[in-house]
Amino acid sequence: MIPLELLALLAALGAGVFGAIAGVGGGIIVVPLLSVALGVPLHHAIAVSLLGVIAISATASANYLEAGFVSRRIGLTLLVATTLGGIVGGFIAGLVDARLLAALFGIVLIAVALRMLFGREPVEPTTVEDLGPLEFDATYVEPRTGEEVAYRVRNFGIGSAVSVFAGMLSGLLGVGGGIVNVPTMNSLMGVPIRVATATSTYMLGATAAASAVLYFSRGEVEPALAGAVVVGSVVGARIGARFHHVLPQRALTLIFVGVAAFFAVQMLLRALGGGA
Amino acid sequence: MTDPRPRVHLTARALTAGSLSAAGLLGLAFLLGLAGAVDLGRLVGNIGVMVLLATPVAGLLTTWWELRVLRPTHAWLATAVLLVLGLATIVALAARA
Repeated sequence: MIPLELLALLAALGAGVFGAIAGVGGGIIVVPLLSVALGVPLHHAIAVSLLGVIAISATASANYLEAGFVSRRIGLTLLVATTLGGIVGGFIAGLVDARLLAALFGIVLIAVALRMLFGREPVEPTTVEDLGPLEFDATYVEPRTGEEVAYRVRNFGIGSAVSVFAGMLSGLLGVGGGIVNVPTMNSLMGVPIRVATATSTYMLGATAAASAVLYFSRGEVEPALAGAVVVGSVVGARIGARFHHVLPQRALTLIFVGVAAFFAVQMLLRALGGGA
Repeated sequence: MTDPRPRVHLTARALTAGSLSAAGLLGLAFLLGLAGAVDLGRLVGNIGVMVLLATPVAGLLTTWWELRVLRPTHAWLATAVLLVLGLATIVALAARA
């Protein structure tokens, strides 16, 4: 096998594992590795990375749907908000200083990660019997204990507004929405981290597909590289989904915080003119 | 109390079938390229990419199907997402043409 494809496959494998666990896809690993470390042109790296995100989303969310971790009600509502934000972001892209925005986003992300790490537990304890008629309150079965866990969703309006902002960031900075959607659902809306990461994974595929169509139509998808990234992503996402079932909620939070910190550094480097 | 859960199997199967088929086709395309059948490999690879691009669309369509009885509002949200994404894609493609 040609070394470039082998390295891309291994990168996608790692991206699939962490992307599926953290609910952020895998572009933040694949794009800089392919473009900076392996010298693949940036547009080609982004194109195959988007295909990898679709593969991770489809593979892992199929698993999460069967396990009952995905709230399609929350996911679909936020997906509409994110998509509308993405369109707005595309229109105002020329009016905003992307480096300043990357710097601000990096700083905000560090603050959010610290809050997730050291802040109070965002999920309000409740019982199935106490759940109200609100549409978004729900339950899932915690795989580590076998108990049915009930959760109340709060701040839904603010969460939707933040999702519009997440979509705008996606359009302006070319980042996936998962890095915003997971803390929005968990810290702001009180959704358990297991459900937030699974629902975010479910949401990512549709938005990545809309962007990937553009790259594909311009002939920027290199089939051999795409093959390596998609195969690696599918295998990695299957492994990641298994870990997602057995890891404690705190471990999921720690992994997300680690990925968010890595992402924040990338944003700050981009603001300084050195990142992919 | 929460409502009964809508089914998820159709969406899960559509997503799994799409991702596995695409990975299989793209893997085959890579092997064809290594074997010297470059044009055939590119054709198979492009089909694999199109299958992968169609997978989230299939996931949203099956989501609509599964939610339409128990959660009609959210079923239509799936349709709205499809429409907005489709519209955004068409606008972006037209702008670049």
